[in-house]
Amino acid sequence: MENINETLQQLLLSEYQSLSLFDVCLSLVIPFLLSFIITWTYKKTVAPSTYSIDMSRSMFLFSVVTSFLTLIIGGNVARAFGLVGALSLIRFRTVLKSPIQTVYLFWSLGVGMSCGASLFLPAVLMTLFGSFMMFFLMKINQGEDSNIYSMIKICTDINKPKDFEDNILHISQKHNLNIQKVDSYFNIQEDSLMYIYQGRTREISSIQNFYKEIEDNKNIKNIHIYNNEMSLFI
Amino acid sequence: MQNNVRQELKYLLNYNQYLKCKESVAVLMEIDKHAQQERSYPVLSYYYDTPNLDFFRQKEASELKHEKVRLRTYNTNFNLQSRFFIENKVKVGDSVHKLRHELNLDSDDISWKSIANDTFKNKYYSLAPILKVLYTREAYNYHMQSLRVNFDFNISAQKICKNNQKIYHLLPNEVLMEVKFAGNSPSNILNLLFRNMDITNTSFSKYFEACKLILK
Repeated sequence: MENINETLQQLLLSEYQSLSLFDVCLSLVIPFLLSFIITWTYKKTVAPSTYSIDMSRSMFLFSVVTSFLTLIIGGNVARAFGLVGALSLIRFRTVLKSPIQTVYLFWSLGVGMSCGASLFLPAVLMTLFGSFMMFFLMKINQGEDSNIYSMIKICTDINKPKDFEDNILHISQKHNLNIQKVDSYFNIQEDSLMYIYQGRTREISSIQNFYKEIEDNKNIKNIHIYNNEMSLFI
Repeated sequence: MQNNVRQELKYLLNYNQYLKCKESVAVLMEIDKHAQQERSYPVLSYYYDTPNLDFFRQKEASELKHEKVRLRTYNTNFNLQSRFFIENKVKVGDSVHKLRHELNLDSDDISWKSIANDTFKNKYYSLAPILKVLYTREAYNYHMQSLRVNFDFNISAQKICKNNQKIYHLLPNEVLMEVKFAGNSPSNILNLLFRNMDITNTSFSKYFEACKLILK
């Protein structure tokens, strides 16, 4: 029991570590320098539409502040608990544009913590490896979907034959176009039935062939095919 | 008096994203009947609030329930032909409850300042017009208006005050997209429309943002 009391007292009442000016400067400058590599990787690997200059600058401050906090907490448990309470005041409510932004912040946080604990070598290694990993994944197009997706809207006569839908499905399969019905409804103004499909294929020619075969169908009033990535309009 | 409940999702788009979204929306959906030769129409709203700005404070404190009262017209030149609507919008989370009442106002009628008090006298006290917001809207409807997509741009706000004629521009380089639907989320249609668009829904209230810009 005494042993436990002693350990607790040691943990809670530990003295301030004396920090030299050089140590403090090192803990602030190194995460700052490493942030250049992180933000450069962020800029080069993320999609241009999700890139944000605010995010890039936040990462600098985030890593330096984390390093500073880790430095002042040192080995003191009481200060760590105190800081948990104080930091819970800060609420991050900004909506991030993509999940990758959260992970980049997490990377800055990790590097900052490591520098704050004077573990400079792991911080440098993590920065270099993280950057290499992101460029490598971008190079091999990891996770990329090679399918071409399209939106198909077909407007038909109300007196269409019963097997009309099966027929459309059959034609699409013939041209290696995988279609899936999303919705269908009756349009009062045009007095016709609307069918909405999602199409998936690997080659753009299969969409064109599907369109050529289907446009002659006398039950179809009009047909629109659209793909937002390739600006394909039929 | 019209009364309806629906869900609302908002997205902030840059010009490129707007063009992409508009292209795909125009394929599946039909342009709103209010739009004339051009695809868009102006919307002018006068927002009312209490002397303590209670509606603004509700939003500022991030309360789950937000209310607003506004006078709305779709003709920017105040004239006799304009149709006016007084609206009370109560939003709880993403779900919106809107009460709408059409008014007969004359062009030189100054009763519009007190009209909100007269209409909602059982619900709110001392409502006064605070600011006006003007924007251009491009609206698309899907099958009997079960889904509606609006693009609002050139959003500008002005304080209602004789001396102050300064115009404030909200979102100078962005377009606000609103997706509105009644009942269940038409997620299959939304996935089809905005596939690979990299857009995330956010929260944006024109009245709140305008108030923040003007009053601070």
